[in-house]
Amino acid sequence: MFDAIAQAAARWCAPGYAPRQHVVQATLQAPNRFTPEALAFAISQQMALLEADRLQAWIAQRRPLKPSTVGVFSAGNIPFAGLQDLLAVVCLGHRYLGSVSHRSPVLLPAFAAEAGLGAEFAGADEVWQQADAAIVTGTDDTRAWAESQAAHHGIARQRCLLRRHSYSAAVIDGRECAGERAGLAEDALLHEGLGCRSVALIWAHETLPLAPYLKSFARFRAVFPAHRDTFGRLATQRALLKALRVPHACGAGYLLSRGPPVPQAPGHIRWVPYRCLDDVIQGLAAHRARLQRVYAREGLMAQLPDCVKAEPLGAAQRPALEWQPDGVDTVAFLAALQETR
Amino acid sequence: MPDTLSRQLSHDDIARRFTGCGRAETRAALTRALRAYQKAHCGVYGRYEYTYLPIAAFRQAAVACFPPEKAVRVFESSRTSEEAASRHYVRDLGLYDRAIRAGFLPVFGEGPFTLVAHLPGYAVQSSLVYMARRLIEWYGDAASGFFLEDLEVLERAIHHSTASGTPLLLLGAAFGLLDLVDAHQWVLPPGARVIETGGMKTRRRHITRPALHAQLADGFGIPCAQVWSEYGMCELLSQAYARGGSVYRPPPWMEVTIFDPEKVECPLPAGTPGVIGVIDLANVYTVSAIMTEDLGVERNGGFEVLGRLQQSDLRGCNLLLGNV
Repeated sequence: MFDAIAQAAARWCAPGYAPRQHVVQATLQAPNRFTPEALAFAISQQMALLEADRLQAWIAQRRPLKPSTVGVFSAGNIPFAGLQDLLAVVCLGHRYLGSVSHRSPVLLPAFAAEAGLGAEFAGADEVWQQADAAIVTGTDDTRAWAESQAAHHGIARQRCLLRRHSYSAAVIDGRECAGERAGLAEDALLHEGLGCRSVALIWAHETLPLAPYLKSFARFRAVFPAHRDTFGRLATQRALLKALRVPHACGAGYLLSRGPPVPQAPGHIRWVPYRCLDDVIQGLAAHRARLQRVYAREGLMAQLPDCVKAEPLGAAQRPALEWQPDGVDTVAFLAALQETR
Repeated sequence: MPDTLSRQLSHDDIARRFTGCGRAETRAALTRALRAYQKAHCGVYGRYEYTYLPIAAFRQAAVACFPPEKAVRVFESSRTSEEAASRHYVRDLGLYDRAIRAGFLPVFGEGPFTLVAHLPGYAVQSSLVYMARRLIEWYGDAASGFFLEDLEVLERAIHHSTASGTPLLLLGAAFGLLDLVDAHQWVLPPGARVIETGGMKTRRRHITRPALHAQLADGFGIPCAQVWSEYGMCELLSQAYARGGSVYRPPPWMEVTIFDPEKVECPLPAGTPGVIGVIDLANVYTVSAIMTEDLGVERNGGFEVLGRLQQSDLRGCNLLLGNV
């Protein structure tokens, strides 16, 4: 299994590989906010992780006593959302029964077929009817819907991994090098601000000049242009900021506003000034329930409290194979499934 | 002609005339005149370069064409952990009263009704509580009133309505009503109507509107056709009602358009879900054109409400919307 996945991934690493090109074309036609550049980045980044040794180390010796049919509802907000779930389910020997978002209906089924994973895909109703465990990723409404569906179909709560809505933040103090500033731009802008790992809030020291960071944002957008729909959304946001006289800065495909730590629409990043690190720590604590990750330069990461899941700047859009959404180990959850329903 | 009319109209004319704008041309003229007045007198709206002001503005600034301290009432929405409450500065409560009456009468009639309201989680400064109080004053009989935990108010109203033949109207927040039917099986008198006002102030759980109506009909012992819905919000002075179904019909002075959330004020065709934009001509002294944070779809000449467009929907991925 690990070898088959690694071989398929190696083929998909090549942008010119015909099946990959076909999938890219089909994916870009779906009603999502993927751009060709961001999609290519995501595929290459994810595929590069799938080496047999890494997969082996990730799964280790963990196996369930008895296989289950795991219904997996994947989000379609960023490319390849749900790939980790797919791999974890099949590598642990469960039956994977997936329901993909209409926003990204092709990527997961195509890769599963290429690697010969035996994964099955169906509509939501069929998945609920057949599943005896579930993994659901989506909004709060999706989570509420999944809770009622699981209860309706007699799936115990402990057999459901329901991920909540969340966002990420960054903390900067002005000592970031050019590479770290570029990393921040990628963290915030790559997938138009979508996805729980994308930076929605930037805590910045109050004396920090904005210009070097804006320059990084502009440089990033020169390589990764914004999706055409982003412009419309940001235009309305910018007009409102102007009307409300909220300090803001914008460029082609990005918008920053200065104010309290309230997440804005995707692509609109909130710049939160702080005086001392205690302000940041208090702010992060207030957002703990919704905060997926916090990104900072390595020297600053060490000063953040242990309860904050911190990663270096530039890591948001490059999740490791073993990363744990909401701090929950997906493999451990799947390995613990023992009795049906 | 309409342009001439709109130039002649003052905002006070509009305040007097808005409920009578049956013709599309008249409404268009009123809309233009009101927009010109509001762009000139409401600072936030004057600086906003488009037509439909995002509702978020009401959470972040005083949206009014007059000094906010001169407001006779400030309606407030509920506050969430992440966002401030919306504030609607009302200069003339008479406008709200007229919008409530003129929206209610053609739909429900003059009564009298045994009108009971169940609005758990709503504060006294809520516009919905004000509306319910006024409806009870105007159209309710002696058995009418509010109740929360005191279910004997509802029991007494049911008994009174059954004995007197006065039709029962039960107005309530959707999830408050669901809690009522979860706790008891009720049998409302024949002809009783339940009006759910949306809202999830008490708790959050997923339910579609048809499923909500079916549960309420079952729990109150009435046909589904007698479960109605009301669409209103703190920032608007007018309401739309859905008569025994999920399609809301706005009154003539309230215009609802569904917009593409990804584009600037780009209307969508009937059947395509998007963000609900409203022009409410009763909002004379604030802003009449508002981009809500509700998702909706135009159907059969009216509109359906599909849910809230939250940051979580934008940032995450709402699987439910994909199935609309």
